[in-house]
Amino acid sequence: MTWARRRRAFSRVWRELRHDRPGFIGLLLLSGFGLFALSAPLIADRSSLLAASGRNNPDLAAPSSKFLLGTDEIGRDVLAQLVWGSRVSLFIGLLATVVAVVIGSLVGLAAGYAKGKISAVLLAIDDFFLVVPFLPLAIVLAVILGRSPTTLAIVIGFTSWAGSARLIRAQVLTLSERAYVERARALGAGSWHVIVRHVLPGVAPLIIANATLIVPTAILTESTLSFLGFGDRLSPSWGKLLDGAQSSGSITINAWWYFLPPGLCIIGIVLAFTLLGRALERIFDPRLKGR
Amino acid sequence: MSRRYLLKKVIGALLTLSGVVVFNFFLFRIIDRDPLAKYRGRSKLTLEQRETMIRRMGLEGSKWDQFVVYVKSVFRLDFGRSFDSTQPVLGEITARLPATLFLVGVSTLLTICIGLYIGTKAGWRRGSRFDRTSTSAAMVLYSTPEFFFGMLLLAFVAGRTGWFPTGGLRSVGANYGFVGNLLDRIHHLVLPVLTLTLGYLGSYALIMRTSMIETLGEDYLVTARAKGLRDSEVMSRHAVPNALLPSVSLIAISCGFVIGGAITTETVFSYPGLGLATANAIRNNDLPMLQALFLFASAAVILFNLVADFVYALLDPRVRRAE
Amino acid sequence: MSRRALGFIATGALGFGLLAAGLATNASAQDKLVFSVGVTQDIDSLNVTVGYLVIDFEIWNLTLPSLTDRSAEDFSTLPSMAESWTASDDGLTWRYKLREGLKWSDGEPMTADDVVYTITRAVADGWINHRSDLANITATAIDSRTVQVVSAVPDPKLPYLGSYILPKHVYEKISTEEMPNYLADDNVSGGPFQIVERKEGEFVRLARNPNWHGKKPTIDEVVFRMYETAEAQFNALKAGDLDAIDDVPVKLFASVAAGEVENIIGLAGNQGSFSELAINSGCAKGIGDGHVALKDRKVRQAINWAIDRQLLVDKILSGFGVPAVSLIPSANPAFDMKISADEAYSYDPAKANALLDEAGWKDSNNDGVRDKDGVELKLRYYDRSTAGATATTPFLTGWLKDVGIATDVKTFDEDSLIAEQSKSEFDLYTWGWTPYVDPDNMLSYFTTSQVPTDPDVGGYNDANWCNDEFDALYLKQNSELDPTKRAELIQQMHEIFFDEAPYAVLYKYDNLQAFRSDRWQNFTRQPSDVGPVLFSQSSPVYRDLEPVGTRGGSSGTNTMIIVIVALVVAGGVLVALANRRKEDADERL
Repeated sequence: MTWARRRRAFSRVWRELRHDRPGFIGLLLLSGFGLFALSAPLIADRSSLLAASGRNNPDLAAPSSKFLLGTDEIGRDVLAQLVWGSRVSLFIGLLATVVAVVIGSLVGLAAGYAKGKISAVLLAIDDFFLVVPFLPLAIVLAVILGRSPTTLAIVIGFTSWAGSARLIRAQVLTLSERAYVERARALGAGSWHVIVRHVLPGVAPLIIANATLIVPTAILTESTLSFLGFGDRLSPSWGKLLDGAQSSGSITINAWWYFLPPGLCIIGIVLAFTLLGRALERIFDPRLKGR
Repeated sequence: MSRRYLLKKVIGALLTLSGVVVFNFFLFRIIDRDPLAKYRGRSKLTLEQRETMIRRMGLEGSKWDQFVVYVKSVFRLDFGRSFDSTQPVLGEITARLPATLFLVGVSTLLTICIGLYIGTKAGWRRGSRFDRTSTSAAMVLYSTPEFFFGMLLLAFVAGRTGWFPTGGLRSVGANYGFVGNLLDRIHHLVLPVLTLTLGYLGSYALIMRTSMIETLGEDYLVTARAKGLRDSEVMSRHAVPNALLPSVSLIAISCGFVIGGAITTETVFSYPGLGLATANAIRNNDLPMLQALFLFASAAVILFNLVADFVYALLDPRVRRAE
Repeated sequence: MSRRALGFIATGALGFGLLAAGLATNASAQDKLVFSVGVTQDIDSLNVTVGYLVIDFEIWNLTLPSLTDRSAEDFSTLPSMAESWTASDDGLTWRYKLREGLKWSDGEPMTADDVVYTITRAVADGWINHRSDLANITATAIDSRTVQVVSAVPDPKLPYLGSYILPKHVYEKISTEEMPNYLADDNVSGGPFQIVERKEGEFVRLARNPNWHGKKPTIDEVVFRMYETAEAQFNALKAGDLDAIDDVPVKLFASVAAGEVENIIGLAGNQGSFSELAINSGCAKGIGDGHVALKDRKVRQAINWAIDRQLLVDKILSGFGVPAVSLIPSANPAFDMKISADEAYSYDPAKANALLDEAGWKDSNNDGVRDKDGVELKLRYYDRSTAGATATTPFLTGWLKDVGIATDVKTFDEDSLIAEQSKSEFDLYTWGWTPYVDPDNMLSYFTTSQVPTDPDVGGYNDANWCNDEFDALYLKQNSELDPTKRAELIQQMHEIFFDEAPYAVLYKYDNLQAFRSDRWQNFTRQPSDVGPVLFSQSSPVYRDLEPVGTRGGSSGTNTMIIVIVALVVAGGVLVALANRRKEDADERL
């Protein structure tokens, strides 16, 4: 019964999305990047990422038939780094979002559903995370906990959950007052059951839309961290490419193939997620129509 | 606005601030950094000297003792000495504060003015060509990392044309007199301000636009129009002031992030403000400096959030009535 | 008067005011001859007993006197504070006659007392930058202008005595406990320049010292300005904000050296600066916890064979350097190790693998990392957060991985890294040295006496390596006056160092510097033809610089900016006024 309902809901969303021009563009862009990331092994061999792989290549060479996006300052293939870097940036962005959404949802659900002290404490914690400067905090945590992609994702997620918790809590508060929740409670259903069976499905669309909007922030944060030199030094990422471009003086000599592609990719993917996220927000919350 | 509301908000702010102080303390005890690293292998320190220094840095005793010492010193506004420069942290921060205030203050002002103007106009004429182009542009700006603007400006404007300096706070050496000095500083500020402004313009414009659109759906505007008021009057006397409400909070909150500084912009332009100080403090594991910077940044945000709450309450009759 | 006219006038006044201010201020900017140097490394301390960075030495060269100086051409000894000297028959006692009328910048007389005070205290308190020069030296003042220096052993370095002499009247007030914290901001100078202003993290400004006893410099001021990155610094040079920079980004240097950048000339100078991978060799008399594998010479040699130095020179230095296999003990390349190409370390992973196998390190559990007796060959690899210091890391860790050595990379700030090194708690780390002219200092750093035994005191022997033969040879060359015999002793020391491999010395690199040729001339290189101009051994260039023509650059730019700003402001006000006017009309309808 619920599956049919869900499928109908899904096809409604899909239909509306197709007609929402910005959202659809976002979706297309996103699919493009997804394909790009998936096709990494087809485009370039992993060994091109090693420092010594540039051995026989010219340094900072302009794009050619051999190197479609030219080479970096130690002769490595820029396209290889760009395409494998897309995996890193996407991985960190998505994992960080999952972390942020899980923490944010749990806190938001609990704060919204439970009353009194628990809610107050959770709100205070949330306040705290909203107030602490998140970039320095993320950097400090990265330095302490290590800079592997997984750790970085957790760190970024950990510093980004505060906003969603608020939103989710607000939504939970609204939903808890709905009739069917009251009925379920009157019938003696336990809190957990009510939350999962009744509240969660109502909040789910908002969580999804919100998550789609957190991914771009996570990706931007990761690229900022890498650019400042606090990211994972051993794996390629778009931020790291920009850092490399800047520190090797490539911008001054106009080695555009080195710094424009990663910058444009970041803009592209952030734009894609943002467009999609805003479209989803519009679809799920009728009050926001016309945004 | 009732006194209870005021009190509740202030207490909340103080509680959050205390939370930050505690968090600050624990976060930086986790970082493994030898406080006497600067003195190792460089000179012979006797045991007494080392103990004195450790005591002065507040690192003596159990974690609880250290915490008490820390809290007391915070009340005295004594933040210790920087591990890096061995100078008092408070002095270092206040020395750099004006630079960051200048930078972030001016760009926030510009961002708000331009963002408000564009967002309002776009929201008012939703669907128009202006709306579509400006919203697309805003989205692209929003998606661009702030340091990317900086990199491009640095390379193509400063590097190529030499019209603007490539970094720093001011020209060194010559004394230009008051006006000249001011102009020199402005000269150095242009590109960093441009970078920061571009970085945040997108989100401001979009938020303002959204706020405008939501306001436009409100009943009282329909009434105003029905009364025969002209469009521009409806806009300037009713729509804009009300659409401004959420922006007010936003403005106040953004002011709070002034102290957090613009880390990436300051790094790209070698601009010696608090953002750059934070990045360097992290690189050098300069714990006293980091603790203080974190505290200041959080305190500023808390303060301005409080201000935003008050201003919002003052302006929005609905909030007042609810109390 | 209409609002519009008023607005016009106000704007015009504002614009002209700005313009006038701008033009007026430019006049004052052109009075002094200021030489601006860009640096990417901030001074860590101006206190000569604490600082150890290259920039510190440059400033000390400009502000602190010494008995003798080095010539720019070939490092030969020149008079400085001392105008002449005589030696006793056994060569152990030297008498230096100081010039007449020497004065510190604050007017106090500079006498033999200052020299004796400095030397005596440096030895007693163990000042790092004076230690190796003065290890065997005692000094007494015969009269106010004569210093007698007695060396316990024959010293091939004398009569050159380049230790920085400090003003006694300032330093006698500072106790030994307070000395490490002393900021040295008294600005009492005995050199050609004195510090007049310092904004930490921004710049340090020096002005000519009127009491300097040597050749009077033409320039009035020297400013060292800090930049975050080498690239920002380079852009500043091009834009005219700076006159000279060190550390030109390698990729940009080629075009500069070829003369492709207007008004800028580039010089690649070599004074023996080199980079190395230090290996914790686990000296038995030392402390710390280096990996057990590194105590075996074969493992250290294997590391040396696993590295492709030529590729590093090609990729990281763009060819501005040469591979090196042993210490570079002197700015004078005559003291480098003499070794044939086929004997020297080269990129030979097969040999590296063979050596590791011989040493008993084999991959028994097939995880790609060698092990022995249950211990994995995983090494702690430390690098520094300073710009450019991590360039070799991806290469070196990659090559080590290729031969089955795993690495765990961690980045430290320089102070913390020294702290780790002082405890000898590391396995591998990267750093570099710039040697003095006399090889004695650098060689001394690898004797057993420099192995850290107390973490608070540390030691320069950062490979935690000790070798009795090396120590013995060191003492011999330390007192060998015959240059040929001395060179031979040093060559023998090289052979031990090469064989024992406490370092994997990577390469000698050029100091890439660039200058504005449209403004300055007489860029003295030290040594002539091959050496660098900035940050050389005794920094003679600041005394030799002469301006070229008149300085046009930035003043013109400033005026243009003023004009543009004024116009923009005027334009903005006009637009605002125009809009207001339209709204007025609307409302009136």
